[in-house]
Amino acid sequence: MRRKIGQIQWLRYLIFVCGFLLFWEWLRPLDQISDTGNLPIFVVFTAICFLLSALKLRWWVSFLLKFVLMLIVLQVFLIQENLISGSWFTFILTELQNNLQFLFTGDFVSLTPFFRTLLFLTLLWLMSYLLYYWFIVANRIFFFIIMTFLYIGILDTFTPYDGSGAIVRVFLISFFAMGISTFARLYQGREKRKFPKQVLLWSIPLLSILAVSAAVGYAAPKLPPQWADPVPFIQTMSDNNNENEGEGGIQKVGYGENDSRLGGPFVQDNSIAFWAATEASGYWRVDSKDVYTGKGWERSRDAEPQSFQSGDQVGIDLYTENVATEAREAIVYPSQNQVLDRLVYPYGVQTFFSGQVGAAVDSDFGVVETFNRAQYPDENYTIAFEEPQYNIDDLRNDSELDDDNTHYRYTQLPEYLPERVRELADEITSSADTRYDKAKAVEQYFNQNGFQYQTQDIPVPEDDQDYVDQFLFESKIGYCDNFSSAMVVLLRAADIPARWVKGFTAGQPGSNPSVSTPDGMSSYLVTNGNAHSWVEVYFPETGWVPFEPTQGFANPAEFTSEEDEAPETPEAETETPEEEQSPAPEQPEEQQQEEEQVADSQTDSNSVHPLYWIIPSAVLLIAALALYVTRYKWLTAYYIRKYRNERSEETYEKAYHYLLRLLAHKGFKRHSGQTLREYAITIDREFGNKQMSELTSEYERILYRNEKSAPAWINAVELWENLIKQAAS
Amino acid sequence: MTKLSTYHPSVSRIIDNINKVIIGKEEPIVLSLTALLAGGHVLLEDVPGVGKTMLVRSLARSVDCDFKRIQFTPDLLPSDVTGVSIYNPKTLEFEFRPGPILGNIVLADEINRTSPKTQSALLEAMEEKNITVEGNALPLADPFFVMATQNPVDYEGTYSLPEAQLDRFLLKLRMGYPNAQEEMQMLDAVGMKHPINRVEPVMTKADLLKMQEAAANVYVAPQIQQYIVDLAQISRSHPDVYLGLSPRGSIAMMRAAKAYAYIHNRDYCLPDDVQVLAPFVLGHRILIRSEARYDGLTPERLVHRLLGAVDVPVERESVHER
Repeated sequence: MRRKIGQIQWLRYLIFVCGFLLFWEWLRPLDQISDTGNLPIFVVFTAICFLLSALKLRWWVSFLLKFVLMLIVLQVFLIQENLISGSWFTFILTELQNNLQFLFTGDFVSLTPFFRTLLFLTLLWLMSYLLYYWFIVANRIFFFIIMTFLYIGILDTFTPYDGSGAIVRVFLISFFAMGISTFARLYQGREKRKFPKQVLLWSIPLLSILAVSAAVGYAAPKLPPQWADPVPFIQTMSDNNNENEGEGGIQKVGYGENDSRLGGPFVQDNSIAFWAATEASGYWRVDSKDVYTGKGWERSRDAEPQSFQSGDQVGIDLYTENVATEAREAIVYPSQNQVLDRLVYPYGVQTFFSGQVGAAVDSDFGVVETFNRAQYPDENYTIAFEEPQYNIDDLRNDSELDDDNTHYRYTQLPEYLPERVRELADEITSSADTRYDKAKAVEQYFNQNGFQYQTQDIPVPEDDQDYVDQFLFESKIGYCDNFSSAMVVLLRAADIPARWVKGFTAGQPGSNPSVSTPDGMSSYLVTNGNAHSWVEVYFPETGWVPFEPTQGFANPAEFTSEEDEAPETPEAETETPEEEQSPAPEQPEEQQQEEEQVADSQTDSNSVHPLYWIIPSAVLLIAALALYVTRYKWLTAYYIRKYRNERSEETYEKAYHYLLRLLAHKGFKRHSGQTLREYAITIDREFGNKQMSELTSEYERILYRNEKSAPAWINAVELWENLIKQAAS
Repeated sequence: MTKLSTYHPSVSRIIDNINKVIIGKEEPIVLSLTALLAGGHVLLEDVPGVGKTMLVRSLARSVDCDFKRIQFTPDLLPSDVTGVSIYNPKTLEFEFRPGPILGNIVLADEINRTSPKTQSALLEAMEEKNITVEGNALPLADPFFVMATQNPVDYEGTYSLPEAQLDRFLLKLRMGYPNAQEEMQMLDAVGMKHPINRVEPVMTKADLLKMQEAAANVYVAPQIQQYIVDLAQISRSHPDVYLGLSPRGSIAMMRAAKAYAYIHNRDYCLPDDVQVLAPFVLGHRILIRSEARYDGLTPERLVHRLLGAVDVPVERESVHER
């Protein structure tokens, strides 16, 4: 008998291992969808927690071990102070104090990494306990399996995480676990000596079915998705959806380094970003980045916005005084549904005029952040700008003598950039003499060499692949990010300073339904689909000149030439709306919003963060659910303690009725027409003793004979406790 | 029956005594005793020759009561039951010759064979506990217990009892055949001399009267009363029922439950008592609609359904006001 229990337990532990593997699948995506680093350490921590749970140590021993383990992990990660020294304790104390304060004010972004790690470790700990309960004690694994599938599915759908490998692994593990669990259930109550044979008889078909179904599933043709990608779809469908809030659940994705991983497909999103009335249409600039990582774009330093007043010179100097300009004005009406926390501006921006909205600018990157946009969602702003006209001759005759700083900063490339990219850059630019011609040559290169504008099936570079290299030599398909990044990298490889710029295209001409267009201006509707990225090339005597490598887009900047009076490049008006519609990418925009969202929550702590409500209520909900699901566990413990020493007249009755409830919960329900005596007999038959009948006959005397129950309870309490424990186990 | 089988010692003795004659058949014995202790009467419905008479006779012998038997025939007159005054030429007076009804335990055999007039003479006596003969009220013996039988097979020339009369029997029982083993034992026992002659009294009449009194004093908790009332109420509103349980039925139920509890050596009633007795108390008091009857609904099944539909009281609070 003993050995048989051991064998069953052995199977349970096998299932528990499967549980750990499944939980591992929960951890795997974290480094992609959040800024969690050092995942292996967390996995090891989880594994040890699982092991400790399985070892069935005394609760305080395992608690102590886990606690120490947690401190070690924290020490390894974060705490500067030595684990043994006293300052360590003070450190934790202050950390806890500060963070609890943040927690209660809803200021979740300010939580320190230490506290976050602490919370995360606690969560892992709790999960190890929960899974131990589910897998070994309750033997209910299906729920967790379903949850794992849902989790992977949701992550795969809504985040950049690619769950196709995970889903196969989860399938294999969970199928196996369920097979073993079924076997364990069937095997209970069989003869022990047949165990090895039974295992063999069971596991061989199980494994072969597993292998066959996995192989069939893997090889079978799969339909493409039947529905559009739900994220933009949901955003477009919900009218009053505040986009930033709507993304609350996943906005942490790529926090702070949103362009650091480019690639992958996207789906058109036509929700309105803003309306603009302008005297001269052109691209709306939002941001620029200077460091190419091989996977995407980052900043060489964090943006350091300086605040400025309405009407001040913002100081974003993109060109020198040599450039001919024309004074213009534009008004931007941001969409109320989408609080953009950046101000968009055209080339040549001088000043912003806005009544309420405070802003700060990092003129180097050209980022204009706002503090309190969320409070004035319908506040428009006016921009005075000097529209530049670049003279091609001047560009051609440029001295090309960059100052060292600029040159160094904007010609940096990753160390591991494949050599063939440099070779290609040389090949393209060798025939051109001037920087302008070289830039033009690169810009034109994409038009001729089999590159295609496409938004679907865009690969994400593998770990050992370079984003630009992949685009230039392998996929040759992509959207603006691919084209613009490739151009910047090629220019830099040819030793020409260039940078990557984000913003919106001019948009679609239309009439703003809410505001009439001022005289001399025309209105444009700019949607999220108009989000775009392009290239700026540095000319020492002219400044930063925009180039447009993306197929199907035309550079809206004005270029003049003395030889040729007509602008060399057509203006925005020639751009057909269809053209602009179809290739307009959404992904940069989405990322931009995320970035701004984070920026907002960091700078503007007065506004109520949506997480303020979501997290506590979710925590409460989960806690309530957990309490409800486990109610008979803790209620039983509670009642045993309570009634053990209680001697009141009602105790017997209450205790007896709790026992009835517990038994009903465990599947032995008394139907209403059944007498207690009959019921007690069925229960006794189930438990193989006479305790319930004894307890019941005493209770009958109390109930139907009106006897005093307190004395009877003293005698019955032990009986009751036995029964309760028997029923609860 | 096994589940409540701790009997009161005196009851135990009676049962053992009767078992000398009647082999098996514990249920009818206990139920007959229940009716006896509750001061009610029993209607036994079964085919001839299953031991009805033996049961009554051995019961009467056990408790030291006199046993009378009335064989009901179509031409039986009420005075054959109650007794008749006969002119005695010696004393020049009418002398009353008591009828069989003046005994303690009366077997009214084949009660449905006689005319309603004679039936009602018996039934009236059962209810009133006295008879009127030639203007004089005569009290019946105490204890007084009638066990009437009727034959379910041949209805030819019978006068079935009207509902109002059926109500006067506390319980309606069936004997049923013994099983093969019991029947073998029975043949063995009868071999030499009929065992009925070996049955000796195990208590006196006074003991029986005390037991009746004790049974009447059994405590019935308000919850149990409520349970009986709930049962009565639901029987009156049940769609398959033409005539539900009368208030007299509720009283009968309670009395029977008390006696039953006493027999099982308890001084308080359980819902189980009610449940066990319900088919015998309710079965002949409830009239099933003919549609339901044609659908195969028997009184036993109906009672079973009613019991399933009423909540057994398991809490003190469940005594609710109505």
